[in-house]
Amino acid sequence: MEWFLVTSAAVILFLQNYPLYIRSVPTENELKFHYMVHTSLDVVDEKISAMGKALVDQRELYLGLLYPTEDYKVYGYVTNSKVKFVMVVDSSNTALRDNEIRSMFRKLHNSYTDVMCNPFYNPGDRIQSRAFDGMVTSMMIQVC
Amino acid sequence: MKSPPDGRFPPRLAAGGWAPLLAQSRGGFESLWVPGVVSLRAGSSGHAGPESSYDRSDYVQGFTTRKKATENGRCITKLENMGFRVGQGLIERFTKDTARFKDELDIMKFICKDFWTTVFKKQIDNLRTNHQGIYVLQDNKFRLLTQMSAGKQYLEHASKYLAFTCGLIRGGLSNLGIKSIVTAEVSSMPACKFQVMIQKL
Amino acid sequence: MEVWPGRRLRRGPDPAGDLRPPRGRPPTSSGPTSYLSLLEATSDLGDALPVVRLQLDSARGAGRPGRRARPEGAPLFAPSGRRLCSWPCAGRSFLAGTASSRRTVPSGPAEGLPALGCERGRSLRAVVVFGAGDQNLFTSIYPTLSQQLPREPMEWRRSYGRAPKMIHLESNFVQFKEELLPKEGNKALLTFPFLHIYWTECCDTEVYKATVKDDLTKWQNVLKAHSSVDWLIVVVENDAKKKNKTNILPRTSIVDKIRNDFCNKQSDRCVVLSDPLKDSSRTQESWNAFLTKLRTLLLMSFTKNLGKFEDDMRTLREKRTEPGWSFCDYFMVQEELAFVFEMLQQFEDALVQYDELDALFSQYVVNFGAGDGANWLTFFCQPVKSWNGLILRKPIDMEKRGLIQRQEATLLDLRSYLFSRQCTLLLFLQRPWEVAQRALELLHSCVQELKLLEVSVPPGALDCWVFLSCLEVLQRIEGCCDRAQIDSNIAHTVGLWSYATGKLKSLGYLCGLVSEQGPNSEDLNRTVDLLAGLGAERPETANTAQSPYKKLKEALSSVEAFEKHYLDLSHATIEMYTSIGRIRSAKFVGKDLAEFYMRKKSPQKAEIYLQGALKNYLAEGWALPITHTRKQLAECQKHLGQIENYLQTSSVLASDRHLTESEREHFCREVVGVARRQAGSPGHKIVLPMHSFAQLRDLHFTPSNAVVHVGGVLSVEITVCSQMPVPVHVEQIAINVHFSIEKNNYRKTAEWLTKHKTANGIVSFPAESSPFPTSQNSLPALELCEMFERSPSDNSLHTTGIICKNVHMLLRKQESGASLEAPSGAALEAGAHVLKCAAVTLEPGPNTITFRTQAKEPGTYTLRQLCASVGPVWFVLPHIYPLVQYDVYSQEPQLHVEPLADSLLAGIPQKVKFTVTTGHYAVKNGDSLQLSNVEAVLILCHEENRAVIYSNMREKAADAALRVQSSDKVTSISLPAAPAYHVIEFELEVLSLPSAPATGGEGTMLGVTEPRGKPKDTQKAGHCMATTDHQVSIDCPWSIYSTVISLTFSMPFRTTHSLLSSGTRKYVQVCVQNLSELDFQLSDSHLVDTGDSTGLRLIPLNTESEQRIHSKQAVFFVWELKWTQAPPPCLHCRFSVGFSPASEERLSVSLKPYTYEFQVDNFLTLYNVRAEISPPPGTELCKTGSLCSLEVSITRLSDLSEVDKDEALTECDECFSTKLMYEVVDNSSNWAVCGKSSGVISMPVAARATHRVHMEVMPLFAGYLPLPDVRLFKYLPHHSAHSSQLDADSWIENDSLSVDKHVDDQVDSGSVQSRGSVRSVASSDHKGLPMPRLRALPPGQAFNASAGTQVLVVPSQDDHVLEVSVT
Repeated sequence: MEWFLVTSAAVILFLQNYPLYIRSVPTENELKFHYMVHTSLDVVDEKISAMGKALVDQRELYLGLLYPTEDYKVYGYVTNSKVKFVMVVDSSNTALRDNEIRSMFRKLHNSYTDVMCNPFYNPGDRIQSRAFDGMVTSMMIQVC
Repeated sequence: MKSPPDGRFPPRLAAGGWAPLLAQSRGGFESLWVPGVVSLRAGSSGHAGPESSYDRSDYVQGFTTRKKATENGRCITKLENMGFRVGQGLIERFTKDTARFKDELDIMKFICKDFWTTVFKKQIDNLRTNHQGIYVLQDNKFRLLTQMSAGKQYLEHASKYLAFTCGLIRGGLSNLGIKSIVTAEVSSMPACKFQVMIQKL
Repeated sequence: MEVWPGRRLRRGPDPAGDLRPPRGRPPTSSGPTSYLSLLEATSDLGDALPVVRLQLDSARGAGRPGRRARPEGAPLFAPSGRRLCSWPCAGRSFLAGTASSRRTVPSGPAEGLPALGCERGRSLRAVVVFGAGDQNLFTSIYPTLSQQLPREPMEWRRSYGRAPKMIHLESNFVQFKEELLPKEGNKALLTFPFLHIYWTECCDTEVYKATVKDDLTKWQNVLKAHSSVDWLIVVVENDAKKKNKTNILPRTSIVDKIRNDFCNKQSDRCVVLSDPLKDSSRTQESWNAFLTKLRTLLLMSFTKNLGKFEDDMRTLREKRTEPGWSFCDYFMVQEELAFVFEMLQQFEDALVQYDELDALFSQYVVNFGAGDGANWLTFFCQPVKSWNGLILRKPIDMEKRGLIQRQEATLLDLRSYLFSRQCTLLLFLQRPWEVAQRALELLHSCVQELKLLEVSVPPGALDCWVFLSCLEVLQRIEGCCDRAQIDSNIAHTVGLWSYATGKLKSLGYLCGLVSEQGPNSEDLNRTVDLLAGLGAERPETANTAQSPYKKLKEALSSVEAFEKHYLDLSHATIEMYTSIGRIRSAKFVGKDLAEFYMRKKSPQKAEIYLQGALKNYLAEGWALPITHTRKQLAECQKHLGQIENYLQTSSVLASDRHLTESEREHFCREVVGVARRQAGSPGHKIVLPMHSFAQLRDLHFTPSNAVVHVGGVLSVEITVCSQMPVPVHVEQIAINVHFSIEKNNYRKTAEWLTKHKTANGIVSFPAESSPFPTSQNSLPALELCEMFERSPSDNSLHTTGIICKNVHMLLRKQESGASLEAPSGAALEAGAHVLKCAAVTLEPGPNTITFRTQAKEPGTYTLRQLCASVGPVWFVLPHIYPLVQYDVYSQEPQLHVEPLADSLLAGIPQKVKFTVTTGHYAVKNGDSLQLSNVEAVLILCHEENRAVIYSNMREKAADAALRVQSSDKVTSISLPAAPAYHVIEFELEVLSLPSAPATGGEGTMLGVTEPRGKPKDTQKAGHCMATTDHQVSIDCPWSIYSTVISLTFSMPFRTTHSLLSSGTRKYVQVCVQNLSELDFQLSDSHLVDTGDSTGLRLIPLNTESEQRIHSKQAVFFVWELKWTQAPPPCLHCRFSVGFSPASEERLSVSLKPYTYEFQVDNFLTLYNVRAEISPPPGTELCKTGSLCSLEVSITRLSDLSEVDKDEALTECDECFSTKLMYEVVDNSSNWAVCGKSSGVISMPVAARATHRVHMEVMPLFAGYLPLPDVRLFKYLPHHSAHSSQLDADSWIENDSLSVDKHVDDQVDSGSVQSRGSVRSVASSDHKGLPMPRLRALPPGQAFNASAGTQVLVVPSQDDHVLEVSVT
């Protein structure tokens, strides 16, 4: 049904801007997402560089809406370890307010931390963790 | 990394493995105050730059026979690397809920206070910097040395207990985007100094 | 300015006229409209100008200089009206314009009033209706009033806890008319009469009673009727009047009258203004009082009404769920509020009103999307018919507002109107960048909302709308900022630019303007429809060249125009993105541009953009974009005919996992196909990097150590993992090999390769690096080490730590990693040596290919490149890393001979191992080793000698019998046939004749003759064996020179002999010592007299013939000598004993016995010496301390014989005598010898001649004491010169003798006493003189009969007082 066509892609990026993890539903216009997210990195970088000057209370990890496009909203989040999370949500999906997005990012961050703390995970590699996948999937289902 | 059989020691450390520490989520931090955490005397840090410590390495070669040194060096390096990986994981967890760091010094303070407290149940006693990328962290009662600090008897083994921690610091920093080299020095146990050289990239 | 009222007065304008709408609107129309009709009027500055003036100037007239006039004037009235026409000239900013207008306006009298300075811009323009009273009075007062009123700011306290503001009040004074009073439910604020003032000047009661009072009452009633409670009565007093009027009541009376007539309880509603036109202090204060009152009341009333209005508005909003509720109505109401705030310069507040409306509307739309739609929304759902974009050049877009009011607005209309208002306000607030940002959001949300509301939109209409809007916003912003500001804020605007670009692009595609054959008919139709939807261009932009409208029209007009505009836009956008460092975005736009170029069939333009983008994606490792861009690039290159690049790209694509099988196959076919087509031009090679085509996984040598001898066969087996989706037929796969002469010859030897084995010969190569650069690895790993610092004083450890050894390397900046796509290195190097493998079909996945080669030149071969050729296409792996080498060696044939045991023992057969390393020489049948024989060494050849042939790998190749023929001269060993580079091993037994090498001991040693044998006398070295080297020369078939090998044999035994005698009987003892590790069996020992002297017999006294001698043991053999007639003075003997290793049971060969030759001479006993100690006379036992007599008797046993013939022999009356010297020594110091202990005697040489010597000795101990031993020497007189034979002792003896040689026989004891001293003297002066000599008798000649005898000595009673006095 239609709501499931509502897409959202969670993408994690590493410091060097290469993807650690990309996931998107539905997969058909994945390419589009990739382009979009890649371009959104520009804004992420801008925000981060601006972030340095900001006051303490504004220095939160959640970067907010990076930029809206006609049919998607791109949100950003940067961990202290400079790992960038980008989430793309269908802009017709009006149910998602800023707070939902923020909490989703927190969830992402939590499970990313678990991945990092897994001694068998080699930092910088692409993430292939079932737990992580599961979390993302559940998140997407909740979004869609 | 063996830890002193010490009741007061954080159980997770005593448990030997660091995995439990990694797995368990970081407990609530009380905000800490490091007495004189930064002495802002630029360039006044007792430690010279990297080159001097490099000289010292030659100086050391005088004493330890090269072969033994290299063999030792290998396991020191191995320990340090283990620490590095652990540090990466820990810092990821510890900084999960903190605000973004303002600058390098901010990060170093975090290492000295929150990080140290969570790992070693105390904070660094003194942090000094020359504002040119060199920081000296001094711990006057370093947990891993307390058990062998009666007299100078085990002084020569002390560095083995520091290697892992050097790695922890380096790993933590690198995960926060600061590439660095961490060296350590003990002269009167259980006090020890960690010197962090930031690599300007 | 003050003239205005005057003029107004002259014209006597009807103030109501101010509000009467122009264009003959029905006067019934409610406030807002009429008010706005003014605004409308302002927009077209035609007829209504005076009216405007009036409004405006009543503001100006209040002494407001332009600076005041502008802020409330600008947005609504003429100044902005004037701006309107000046807008299109970009660059001259609106805000700047106002700023300048401030500057230009002449400053009125109010200038320089501090209050204005600070509070400029906040003022309330209230409508005040003044009651009738007398006109003249008012007009006379008006100027001062309107000037004074705004001077003092008032604090405006606001409801709902909003922050209070200081504002200035100024007023429109309008003549009172009943119909002006607002009706019930009035929504107009702007024209609301806030305060009613009644002016009167009358001062006498009559007049008051007559006219004024009635007038007032009427006025009051009217007010009451309209329930307006805000009124004020002003009584103006004039002293002038008072003067001429004599009959006068106290002035207060009038006021009082009025007070208690009208204002009951609220007495403050009546104020007195005394001679307003005078200039006296009294006047001043009365003015002030009045003004304050006026302001307060005015403000009170305003606040009250405003609050009321807001409350009404809220209640209206709360009703929004009710069915009848209409958004548009509400819109109008809230906008009224906004207008008021705007007029008050409260732009934030005004903006808030619009934002609330905006939010409210959006919420409705969202809810509609969620299912519950408000029915009024359906108005907005009507299909979009016109899509002329935003209009931001007018402060208020009246026609759109009209639409909304009439509830005919479409969603776009509403949105654009709303935004235009917000835009205007934002610009007043000087926040143009927020405009840009909001604009983008607005456009996006509009598109969304249209989707959500399922509004039917003709294709492309939205694109037009968005495009126009973007440009409109951009131009509007440019209109009010200067270049610098714009440049510094690109970040805000660039979004709009790229949005516009995108839209234009899609329009272009829609209208078929991008295809190179141009639009077709329905494209054209569509274009026409779209243009129709734009409607006519708006008047305000009509005369601007660059208006969005014109742009769009032009762009859609023709293919060329479109291209021009599109390129302009794109380039502008890219430039902006790059300028603010948004590289990725720039690349993305670039890609669109590239697509456009591709559509326009101009790939050469497209390429750079694609390349740029691809590079970026590669650098950041974005798989999908990489693939996609590559695909485009491939197409582009194909069009460009860049065969090489095309092939490369498509080969990469063919191996790309992210493509579908079919696509991959397509590209694979492309590669192969093109290759085939190119095949026509021979010689021309296309070199492509290998990794995309296939990857080298591992490489395996046989032989596994990758070392072969010349001519040997080496096979290299490589595993390549083909990345192609389909099997590819490759003409040839080749490995270029670099050949270098091996420096160190050692590597060439067989030993090297046997020792030096690589790990089973498999070299595996790392898989291709992951798509994304891992920059962690760029740093070198840090090397730590412990440091120990010791205090220089005492070497005690005082500091330890950890230091980093390679700081210098780590602190260096690391350079950025090179690009991943590296076809550069793929230069095909033509090496002389190539391993080829032709016609291979590479299946997808791993393939194994085997190269065989025969080693030619010795040296080291390094595998450099791997290349596979498909037609002219060569896939090259430029560097094979890690380094792979194989070695070819050639080896000289060699012969090694070494014993199996650690040392060869002479006399017994022992194995010697021969090793023939054939090297490059192949041993044929009949080849043999010629050993030139050595007598002492013989080679024992058995039939069962076998040779084993090994290959160089130490693998046993064959096993052949070995024929050994030995003649007397040579032994020839015929080798079995063995191929080159093999090893033949066999063992031979050698035996060297046992021979006693030179041994010390008495008797000269006559060893066995040893040809070429140099006996090494190892006696000094104690118990190690005597060795003998034997050089054996061997002629090998492969060389003309003969190899000489030396075999060292060592003698297992050492033999010594000794002569024993008892009396006259003689014995010979031979001692054999076994020095070797082995045990031996000794058998049939013989001692024979070689100089076979007759009548001499050797009787063995040895018991058993067989004897075992263990290692490091000795065995003694004894023979007795017997002779019948006089034996020869010397006797030659040979001792021989057969021996064989005790371990071995039966030996093949009969071993030669071990022989030892020696000689014994003058073994006959000549003298018999006997000593006897007899106790002192009278005692039968010797006592210690008591002198005993020692009698030494020397007996000659034989007659004169040969041995006596020496210079000592003297003859007197044919009886010979010789001189002997005896000496009594007691080494064990048991005895003290008293008197002379030695003497010379002349011994007659005749049998049984005896000579006795007596002397006294004293036993020093008790017990059985051995006798002191007596030595006998031959005494040679001095004239015989053989001093050389003398040893030190005899010198001494002689010495002492020479002292007293005159005193011949009787040697007194004194001489003995003085001996020491005398000798010393003598030794001093008799040096060098010829001296008599002593010669020890050979052991055989003197026999000490009393050797070993002992005498019992009993201790003396008082031996403690024993003293030895020699006198």
